Amino acid sequence: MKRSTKRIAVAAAALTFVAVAALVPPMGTIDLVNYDDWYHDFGASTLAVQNLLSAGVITQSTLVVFDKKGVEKSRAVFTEAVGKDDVRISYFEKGWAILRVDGDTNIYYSVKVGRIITVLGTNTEYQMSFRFAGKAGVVSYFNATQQAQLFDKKLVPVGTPATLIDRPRGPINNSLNGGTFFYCEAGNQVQVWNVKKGLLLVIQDTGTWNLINEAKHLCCIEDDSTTDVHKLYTYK
Amino acid sequence: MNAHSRNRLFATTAVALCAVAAYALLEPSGQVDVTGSIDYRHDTLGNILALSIGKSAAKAPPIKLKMAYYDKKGVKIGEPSLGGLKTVTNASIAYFEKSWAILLVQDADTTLYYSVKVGSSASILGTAATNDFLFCFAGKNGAVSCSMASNGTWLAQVYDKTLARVGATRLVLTNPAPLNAGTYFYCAHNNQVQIWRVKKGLDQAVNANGQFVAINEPKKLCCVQDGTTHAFYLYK
Repeated sequence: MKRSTKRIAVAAAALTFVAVAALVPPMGTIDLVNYDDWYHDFGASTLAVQNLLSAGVITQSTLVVFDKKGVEKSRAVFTEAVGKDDVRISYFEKGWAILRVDGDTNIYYSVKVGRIITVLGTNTEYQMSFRFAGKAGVVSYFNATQQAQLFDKKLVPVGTPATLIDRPRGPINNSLNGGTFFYCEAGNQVQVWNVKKGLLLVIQDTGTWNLINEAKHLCCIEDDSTTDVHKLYTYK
Repeated sequence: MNAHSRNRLFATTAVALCAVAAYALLEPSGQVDVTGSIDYRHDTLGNILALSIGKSAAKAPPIKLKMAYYDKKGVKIGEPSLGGLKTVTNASIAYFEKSWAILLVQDADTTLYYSVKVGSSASILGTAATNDFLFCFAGKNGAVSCSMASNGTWLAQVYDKTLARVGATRLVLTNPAPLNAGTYFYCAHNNQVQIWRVKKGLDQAVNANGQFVAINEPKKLCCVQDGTTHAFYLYK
């Protein structure tokens, strides 16, 4: 190899090295091929459920938690699912999960998952229709009646039911600010609700919803039905 | 208690309850009527920039671009005008944050991007033609232009606030989707994901097979899901 060619080859190799070195490797990887459902929480921990079935009926259900590095942290048998049809994860955050166990009657289980599974409470889908959850609890919403209700971690109702103008919405998991607020809109009307020991209506105004800065709880309700008026709110 | 006193008690209680309900509702921190504007934009602090086109009363009127800048309380901070822009036929706001805006302004002959410092007054920081710069998004490290070349490849380039090029043009998978207020972006195409860092140019942080799944944007956590394999990334 000529000296100049060698120099080019070395430079090309160095550039390739720099390009590869700049790439961020994954913190961890998990293969969920043998699992029926999974949910990543905000810390990148994963809850996965593995159901063994015989003739369409669960004979064993296992809940496995992986950390963000893909390391298995716990594995526990969920005995309540035996004899049922399916287990799905509605929510998972920092060891707390809402599972929907389908059978003759579909039942939500609020569970603490780890090396053992602690059932904190249950409720049927007739009483609770999961929409989202956050640190204040679980928000249920029924489309037919437009009724929303907060439930605590035991899945016991907290506060009184509220009639919404439409389903709870938000950019992540149908809610705002990690499940502590939500908005709903219908027919040029906007409501913003606070989820805290019950559901508290904090904003009701005419217009359409615009999120400005979720971290700072800033939104705008824009009413362009006659003039184009923008009303700025800090929801709290 | 006779019927009259009972009715009066009910009425007083109802009025009191209404007062409580009304008191609980938040009032807007401010409102702005942008009727007649050709475009407007809220920044993440709730400030509003609105554009309108006005004609002077002269016989052959120059068509001027008017700007109005309001704070989140709806107070007008200024109505700055840009010197030299006198025959505007159309204009829109590509970006607005704090005191920096990128406007796309069309006159009889040309269409140009203007990078503008706005407040009680305005000054032009730089301009770029649409055949050189195609706004995709902007953030504190500059504006990112993205365009598809004739051979179908996608090219991205960072520009500073004067709309001068920063760093090299990079080949990216597809049109970028901004992350973390424009300091990163991802592209996803044909089961491949790229994450790029916007900082004095474009640096590729992640390149992986799969689909992009957002986990926690403030903490720069994401998952790239390739079939049943989930790879967790902390992009930085």
